[in-house]
Amino acid sequence: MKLSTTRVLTAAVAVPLALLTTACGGGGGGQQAAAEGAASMADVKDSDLNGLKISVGDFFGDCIDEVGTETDVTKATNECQAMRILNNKFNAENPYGITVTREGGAEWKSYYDAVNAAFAAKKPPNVLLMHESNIPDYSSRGLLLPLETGYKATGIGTSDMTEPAQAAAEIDGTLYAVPIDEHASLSHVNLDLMAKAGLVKDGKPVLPTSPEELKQQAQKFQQATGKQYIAWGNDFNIPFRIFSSFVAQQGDPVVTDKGKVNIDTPAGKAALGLISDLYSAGIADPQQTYDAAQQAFLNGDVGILINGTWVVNEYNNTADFTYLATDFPTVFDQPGVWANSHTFVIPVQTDANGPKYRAAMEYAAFMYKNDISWALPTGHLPVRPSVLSSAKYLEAPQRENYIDTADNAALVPQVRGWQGAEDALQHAIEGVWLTGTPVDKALAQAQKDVEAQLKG
Amino acid sequence: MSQASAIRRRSRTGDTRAALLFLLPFSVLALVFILYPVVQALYMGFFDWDLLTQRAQNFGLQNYVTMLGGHGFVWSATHMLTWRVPLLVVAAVVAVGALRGRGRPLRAGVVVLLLLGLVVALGFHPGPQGSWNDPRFWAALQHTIEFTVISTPLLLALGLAMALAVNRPGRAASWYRGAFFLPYVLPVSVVTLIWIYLYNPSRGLFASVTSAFGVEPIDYLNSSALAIPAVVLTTVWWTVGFNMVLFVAGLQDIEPSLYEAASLDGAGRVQSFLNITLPGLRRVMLLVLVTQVVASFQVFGQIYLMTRGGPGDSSLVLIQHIYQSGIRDSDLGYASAMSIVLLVLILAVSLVQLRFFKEDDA
Repeated sequence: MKLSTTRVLTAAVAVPLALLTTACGGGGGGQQAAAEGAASMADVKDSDLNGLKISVGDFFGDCIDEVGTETDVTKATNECQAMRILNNKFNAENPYGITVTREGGAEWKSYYDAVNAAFAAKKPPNVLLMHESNIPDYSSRGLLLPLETGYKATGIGTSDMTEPAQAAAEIDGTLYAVPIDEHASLSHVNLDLMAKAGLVKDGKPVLPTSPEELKQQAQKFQQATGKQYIAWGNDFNIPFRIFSSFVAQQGDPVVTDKGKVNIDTPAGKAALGLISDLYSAGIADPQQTYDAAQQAFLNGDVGILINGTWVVNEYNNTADFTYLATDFPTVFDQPGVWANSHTFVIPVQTDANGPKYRAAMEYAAFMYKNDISWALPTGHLPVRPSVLSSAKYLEAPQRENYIDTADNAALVPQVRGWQGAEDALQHAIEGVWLTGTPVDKALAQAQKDVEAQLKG
Repeated sequence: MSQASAIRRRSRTGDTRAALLFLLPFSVLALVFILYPVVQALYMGFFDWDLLTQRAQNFGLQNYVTMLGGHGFVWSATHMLTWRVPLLVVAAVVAVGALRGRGRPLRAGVVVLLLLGLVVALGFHPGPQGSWNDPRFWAALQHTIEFTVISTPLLLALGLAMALAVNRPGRAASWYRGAFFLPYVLPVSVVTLIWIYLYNPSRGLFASVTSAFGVEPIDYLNSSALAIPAVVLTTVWWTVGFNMVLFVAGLQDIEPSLYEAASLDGAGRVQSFLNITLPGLRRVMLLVLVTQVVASFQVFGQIYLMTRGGPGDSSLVLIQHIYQSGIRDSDLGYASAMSIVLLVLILAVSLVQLRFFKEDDA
C-alpha cells in the first residue's frame, strides 16, 4: 500500500471538515419552541404526571448525607440542608408521585458555567434555580419556557407576590420564573460593642443617616471600643453591592432594566467617593476577605458587618454577643439596598414533553408555596406578602428587624450579559483602593467597560 | 535478483503496515481531539457563534477586527519602555556578537531587524481620544507574555540547578528527587489553596515572616504589581520538579568518560559544565524550553483561582479572557478567534525556538 503525502494531507483536512459539518447543526430552542412547550402544559392531565422523574439544577450543594430522607424543614440549619429537605418533602408529598433528583456538581461560583455547558449540550435539567439577574441571558434566546400557562395549571399567581419578586419573575411583561425568595445585603450588628460606643437607643442600633454621620459614628465607635466599626468582604464582588446600594439610595439603579448605565454620574461619584473615604480613613479594610470579615465579626472585633440575609440564622445561633440583624444603612436620600432573587425556571428541552414541563412546574410551584420553609432556616425574605406579615414569620428570630428590606430591595438589573458587566464594574471601581486610581477615572472606566460589555 | 527485490518489497510493505497500525490509535485521537477542534475553532472564529443556542451568523472577519483593531493611535518613544529597553539590549548584544564574528551574520541581521521593528511597533498605542476595540485582549496578551518571560527562565534555570544537585547516587538524593517532584502531582486547586493561605496578609506565612522584621503585611494577590510575580512563584514551586526530572534524565545520558577525560586534561567544574554538560543537555533543554513556553502561554488555572485576573485586569491572561468570552458571555465565535491567535503565537514562538536550536546543531 502506497501512502503519499498528498493523501495524508487530504485526509487530515477532509476528516475534520466532515466532522465539522456534522457538528454545525441548527440551534435548538427558539422563541417558537418555548411558546409551544409552554402551551403543551395546558393539555396535561394529572394522571400524565404519575411516576414522572425530573431533574433539578441548583447550587446549594449536596448535603444529602446530612439530611438523609428527612422531610421536616425546621431541622435544617443552612441553605443546603433546607433545599435538600424541601426536595425530600416534594418527593414525599406531591400527589402525583413525581420524583425530583438533583443534578449535582457545581457550586455557586461556577454554577452558571455549568448551566451554560448544559444548554450548549442541549441537555439542561428539567428545572433550574436561577438568579433573577441571569434570566435574560436565557429567556432572550428562547431557552426558557414562558410560564403563564404553568402558573395557571399549578394554581399560583402574582397577586400574592411582593413587587420586587414580581419584577424578578417577569421579563418585559412575560413570566419566566417562579421566585422563592429575595436576598439582600443587611447590617449584622454587635449590639454590645455599639452600646459601648453609645450607639444604641431603645435596644436598637443607631445607624448613620448620612455619609458624614457614618464617618463620625465610626470615629466615635473606634475611640470607645478600639475595634473596627464596619466590615465587609472584598471578594465575590461585594464592594459592587455596596456601591450599587449607595447609588440606588440616590434615586437611580447603576444599570436600568433597559440597559442604561448610570455609573459615571454625580450619584456614582458620591457612592464611590464614600467607599474610598471609608477605606482611606481606615474605617473599612480593603484587604479583608469574606471569610476574614465574617470571622472578625463573630470574634467580636467588628461593630457592623455588611453581609447577606443568608447568614442571619447562622449568626443568630453562633454569635456569643448580642446579635441583631437589621436593614442596610440609608446614608443618602432614600432607602435602597442591593438585592437579588432565587427563582426557578424551566428550560426548553429538545425532546419537548408536556407532562415533564408540567412536573417541573409543579416542583417550582411547590417551592413557591413553601417559601416560608425556605426563609425560616436561611434568613432569606419570602416573596409572598401574606407570609411576610404572618405571625409565624415575624416571630422567628431577627425577622421583624429587617422586614423593610423586602420593600427597599434594589434588584440587580435584568439585562442580557449582566454577569460580565458586573465583573467589569467591580474591576474598575476596585482600582480606587487597590491601585490608587482616582475616583473620576475609575467611574469613567467603569461606565465605558460596562457599556461595552452590555453592547457585546 | 528479482527474487531479492520482491522480498525487499514485501518487507517494506510489511513495515508500512506495522507502522500504520501503531500510528493509527494516536492519529485517530489527534484527529478527533486536536486537529478537529482547531479546524472547528478556525471556522467558528468567522461567525458570531452563540454558545447557548449554537447559532452562527454574520460570517466575516468582525471578531478579528474587534480583537486586533482600534482607533486614534499615536506613537511615543516612552511607551512600554520596560519591554522596549530589554529588546534593544538584546538587539545590541546580537549585533555586537555578529560584528565580532560570532554566529551567522545574515541570521543576526534578520534578528536585529525584527527586534528593532518590534521596538518601533511597541511605541504605537491609543492616544487620549483613542482606544483598542477590546483593551482587555491586549492587556491579557501583555500579561501572558510577561508571565511566560518571567516564568520560563526561572523554571529552566531552577530545574537544571536542582537536577545537578540531586543527580548523584544515594538515598538522600533519591529522597530529594521525590520531594522536589511531589508538588507536580498535586492538582491546581490544591496548589492554589496552599499558596492563597501562604499569601494571606492577615494569617499567611509570608505576612508572619515579614511582620517579624517590622514590615507591614503585603496583600500580594491584590497588588497590581505583585499579583503576577506571586502566581509565577506558585507555578515555579508547582512545576519545576517536572523539569528537574527531565534534566536528570538528560544528565544521566551524558557519557561519564567525557568528564574523566576532561578532568585528566585539567578542566575544572565550571569548564566541564560549560563544555560537556550544557552541550550534552541541548536536546533536553530544547524540549523543556518549548514545552514550558507552550504551557506558560496557556496559563489559566492558577490565575483564575488565585487572582481571578485582578486586581482590575492586572493579572488577566489570554486563556481567562477566552474562557470568559466563550463560557460566561456565550460569545464562542470571539473566543475561538482569540484561541486561533494564541495558537498562531505559540506556533510562531515554538518554530523560532526549534529553528534556532536546529541551526545551532547543524
